Amino acid sequence: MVRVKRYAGVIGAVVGLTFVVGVVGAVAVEKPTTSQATCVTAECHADYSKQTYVHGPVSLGDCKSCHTEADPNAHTYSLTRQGNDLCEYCHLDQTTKQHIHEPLKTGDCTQCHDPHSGENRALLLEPTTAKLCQKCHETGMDVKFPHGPVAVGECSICHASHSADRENLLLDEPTSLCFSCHVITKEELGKFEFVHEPARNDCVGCHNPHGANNWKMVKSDAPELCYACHADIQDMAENSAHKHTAVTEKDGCLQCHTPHASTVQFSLKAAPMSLCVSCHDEPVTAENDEVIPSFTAQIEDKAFLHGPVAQKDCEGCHSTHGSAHFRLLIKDYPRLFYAPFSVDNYALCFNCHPDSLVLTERTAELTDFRNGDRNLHYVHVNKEDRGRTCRSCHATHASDLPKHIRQSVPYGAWDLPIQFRKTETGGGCQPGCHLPLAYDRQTPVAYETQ
Amino acid sequence: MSVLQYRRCVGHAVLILGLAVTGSLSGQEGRGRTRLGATMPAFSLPAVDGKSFVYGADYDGVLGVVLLKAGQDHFTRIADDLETVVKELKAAGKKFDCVGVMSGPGAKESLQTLDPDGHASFPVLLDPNFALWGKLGVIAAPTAVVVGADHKVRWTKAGYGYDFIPSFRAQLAQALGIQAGSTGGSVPVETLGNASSRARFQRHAQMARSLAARGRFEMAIAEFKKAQTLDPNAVDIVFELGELLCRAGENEAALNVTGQAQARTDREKGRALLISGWARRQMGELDKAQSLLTESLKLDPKSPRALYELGQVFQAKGDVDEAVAHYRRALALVFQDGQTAAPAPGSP
Repeated sequence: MVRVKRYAGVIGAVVGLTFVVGVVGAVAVEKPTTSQATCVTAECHADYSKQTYVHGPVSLGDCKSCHTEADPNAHTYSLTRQGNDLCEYCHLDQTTKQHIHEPLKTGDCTQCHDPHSGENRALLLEPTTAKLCQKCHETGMDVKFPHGPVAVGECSICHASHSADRENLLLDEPTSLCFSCHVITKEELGKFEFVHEPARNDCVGCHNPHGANNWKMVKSDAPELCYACHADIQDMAENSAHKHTAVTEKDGCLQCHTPHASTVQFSLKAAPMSLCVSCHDEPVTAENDEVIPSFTAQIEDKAFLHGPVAQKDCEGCHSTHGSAHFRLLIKDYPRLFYAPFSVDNYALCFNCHPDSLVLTERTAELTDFRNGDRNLHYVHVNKEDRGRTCRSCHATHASDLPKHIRQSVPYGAWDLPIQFRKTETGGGCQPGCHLPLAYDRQTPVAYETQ
Repeated sequence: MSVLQYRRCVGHAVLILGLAVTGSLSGQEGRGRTRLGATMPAFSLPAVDGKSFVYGADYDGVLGVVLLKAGQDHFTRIADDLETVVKELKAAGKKFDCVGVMSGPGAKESLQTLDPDGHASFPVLLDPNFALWGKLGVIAAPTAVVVGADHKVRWTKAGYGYDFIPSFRAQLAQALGIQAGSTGGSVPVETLGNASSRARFQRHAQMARSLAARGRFEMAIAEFKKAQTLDPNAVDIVFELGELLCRAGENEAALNVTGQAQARTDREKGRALLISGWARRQMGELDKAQSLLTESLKLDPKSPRALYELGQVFQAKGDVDEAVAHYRRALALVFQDGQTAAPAPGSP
């Protein structure tokens, strides 16, 4: 029995060995030991010719273009030329430009290309250029908002694969490259008067050309992005005594400004007042807990508007980004009802109205608020001690009375009505400040001395 | 009546009389009003160099006046902007004057910051006594006034707001007959937005073309379809998509797409026939393809692709001579070379 088992084992081994030899022998091809006309045959290197894209010499069976027989007996070959020379012998124009892709410099064409054949166009080793580029480069594909060419994995839309005249192997000047797809943007930029300069010639100043986690591929959110160039605005926004929180919150700048171009000065998105009332149509609590009343409520249905309000130009009096003065005023203005007169105190009003309005005792040119040529602005305002500030008579924004005279003035706990009336040649008030008085430019009123 | 009361009465009478006299004189001069349609008051004001600018009944032409005040904020910027506006309008061949009027005490000193040579088109006059300011009833500076050739005030605007310069430019242009219509005193607000359908359409179309050029047909087709969704009426995109579908071998899809195109011109109809012929050729329907491509060439005889495709049809049918003749014509069109142009098929 032991003898049978031993013989069975030997027989099994022989059968197995025969099987192995037979099977292996069926696929193994003996290497030729002499020179061959072609290397791509049904038995050898057949796969090279079966793929979709075949390198020219391979399709012609001209392996000797690149491979030189070293030892026919051993079927060994060496490359016909070394380094760049191998491929550049045929592919002449890949390194003619100033900036050369690194693999090309070192002659590593096969880092990207299969030298024989492949399923991808240009014999690329990967189906998209991005998959190939990712092996060495950060392509930006892993961000929330990838740029279109990155999203489709086609880096070659912007970058030359081999060499280029521009840095980063760009195919064209950066902005020209952007406008090659963003055709409408380029077209429209020419039509707008107020263009944000980077939009004209430096898209990558704000946008990451590969993509970003921020919407519209911006490098960072406003206002930080904007502060990179507008340091003066940052200083005003962050360091002013009176801050405008709409500026410093996230995307603050974009609440008012469009980043590319506008028909409105300073690239505003709308007329200034339209922008302001997007918040100031309701009471707003300022940073010091002061409640700013609704602007819209102040001017709604009012017949007489202060000039800047009529022009929808809040910036005529207010500094949008921040101010040293209360209520974000652009210049000094007294908070109080009474104030000693000085030109500096009224810098805000004298921004538009000549200071002569208050400095000139007698005039026929400067104002209609005069009794004959006696300037009543001078009488009311130009006092060393208890001059009336402009707001004591004029509503800042709007009023139902001509010259936007106030209906009443707050005086301590009282609300004193002004009861201004206008005539063809003058007018009069019956305020709580003094007895009813009238004035007339043509027939001056005589005032009783007291 | 006591002596004191008498004196008071006399005093008041004198005061009243005095005020009446001075008041009547000053009140009758005094401020005017800048009413639209009113006649522009005459004035004569000197410039810094002493030469006077005179506006009166015999002034001929349109006038722009910008009243400023001594110590005007942003004066240099205002002057620069107005200089640009005036130069632009004068470059259009129009003859007119545009002057600034610096008003109030200190007017002359205020002008010292201005380079007169750099503002030759916008001279600034001196009005230290507010004479013109008063005549026009101006309240604030700057105030711009445009006066027509008929000496009537056409437009006025106060305050250096966001639309001061654009409005002034537009109103002057209208007064000069360069620009029609009315801005109503303000500029229409528009911003550049690249999220419009038109912008997005262009971007997808460009992406499609870039991808197609790189052999990424599947993705290119997807991009063309996105573009088509954004503008279903863009016929050219339909044809580009149809051609790409043919290149990708998606013949049925190419026929479907082209069948939906609203071809209007001969060129568009020719293109639609070309795509149909191309697809039919690839589907092996050679006779049908030949008929379609021949029709296409009648409508668009300079289509290299149609000639090439017809060559392909002849080649598939075994008619080498016709095939070569069509290929040569296609090449001649591509290279614009008269020497390679073959004789027409059938000729010796």
